[in-house]
Amino acid sequence: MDFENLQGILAEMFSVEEDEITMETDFYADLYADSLDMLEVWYVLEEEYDLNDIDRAKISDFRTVGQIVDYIR
Amino acid sequence: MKIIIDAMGGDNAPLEIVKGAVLAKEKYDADIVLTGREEEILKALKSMGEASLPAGIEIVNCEEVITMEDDPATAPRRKRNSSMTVGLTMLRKGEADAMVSAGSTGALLTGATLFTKRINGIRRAALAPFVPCKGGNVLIIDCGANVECTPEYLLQFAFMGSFYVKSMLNIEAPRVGLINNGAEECKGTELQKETYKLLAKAHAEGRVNFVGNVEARDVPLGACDVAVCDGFTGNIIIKGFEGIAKFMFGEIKQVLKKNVKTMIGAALVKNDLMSLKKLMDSDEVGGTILLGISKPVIKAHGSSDAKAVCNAVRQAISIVNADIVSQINDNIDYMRIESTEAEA
Repeated sequence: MDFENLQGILAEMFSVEEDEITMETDFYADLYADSLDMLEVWYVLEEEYDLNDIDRAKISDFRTVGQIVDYIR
Repeated sequence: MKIIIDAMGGDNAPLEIVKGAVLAKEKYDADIVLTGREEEILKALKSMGEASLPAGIEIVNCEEVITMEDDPATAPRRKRNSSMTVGLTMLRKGEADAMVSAGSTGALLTGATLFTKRINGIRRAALAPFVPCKGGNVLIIDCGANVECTPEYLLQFAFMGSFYVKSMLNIEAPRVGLINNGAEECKGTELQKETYKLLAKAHAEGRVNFVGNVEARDVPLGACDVAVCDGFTGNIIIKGFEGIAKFMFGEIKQVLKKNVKTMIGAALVKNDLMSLKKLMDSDEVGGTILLGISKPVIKAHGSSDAKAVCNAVRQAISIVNADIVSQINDNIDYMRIESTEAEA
């Protein structure tokens, strides 16, 4: 899994600089994400990383970028 | 020009939607793509006396339909072969210039965000209808796409709304008002108070022409050109307008039918009253742009009839011709907001 790729996707999605996306970045506290943002994250992960049927409830459990990286790996 | 119409979206689908599509094809020089259940669309055409598909109208068969009962957050993804999702995906791929749907507002926002995508740099798309007011029109942004908003979203709505009004109405520096329950800076909830600070700062920087808080009663009196609010408030305001307009016309009708004298008076002002009624008729407006999406997506009223669908197509055509999306894209640096802007 290419972290830089994920960094780029999330930076574009949340309109922040790429270096603001780290493993510790908290979607809610740092990126001010809401439910629609997390739906976009969910959709992009499925499309980009060819993941099928990620449980939507699981997505709302993700708080940090690192948790997503661990999940994809 | 090619316009996609979600044939299965809305209370009166597919019959009124199909009728509206045929009407729009006759009135405007645009090709129409109807997404939806082919069999039902053809049946609707048959009931209108159309033996075959009229020239310039094509059908893209989709078996699934997103209903008002579906979860708007998940339905567009779960129902990939729905009339709405297929249309939004086609739009993203450049297979048409705009899309009209009278389907679920929430599903359309989610679907447009996921499948057609936001303009890069825009955090949230917003429903932004023009509403008639004293001296012209006022843009109310947001009217229902985002029930929960942050101050940053409202600031960006102000930027997008100003730009849209400038482009569509040729107003050089549109007056932006923040909908609130009083004119004073201290009024409102935390959302309004924080947004006020952001708008005042943007005004001082020359990025927006902020005129302060505006009460709902002053919106129809022309207090501002762009009325900024969260989608929950905007939806209540616009539906309040609709209800008051219907009530007032009903009352006027009763007064004019009262006796011979009033009936003579009614005959004398009939044309003017009809013009006024037309001005206040939501079916005449047709639809509302989902401002901030990378291609024009028009949300038509859920109860749209053929006339409303036809007018929504007219609106889609004018938005495509005005090239609003490209213009927002070209000026995105001016509209970009920082996540931490509220803390500044």
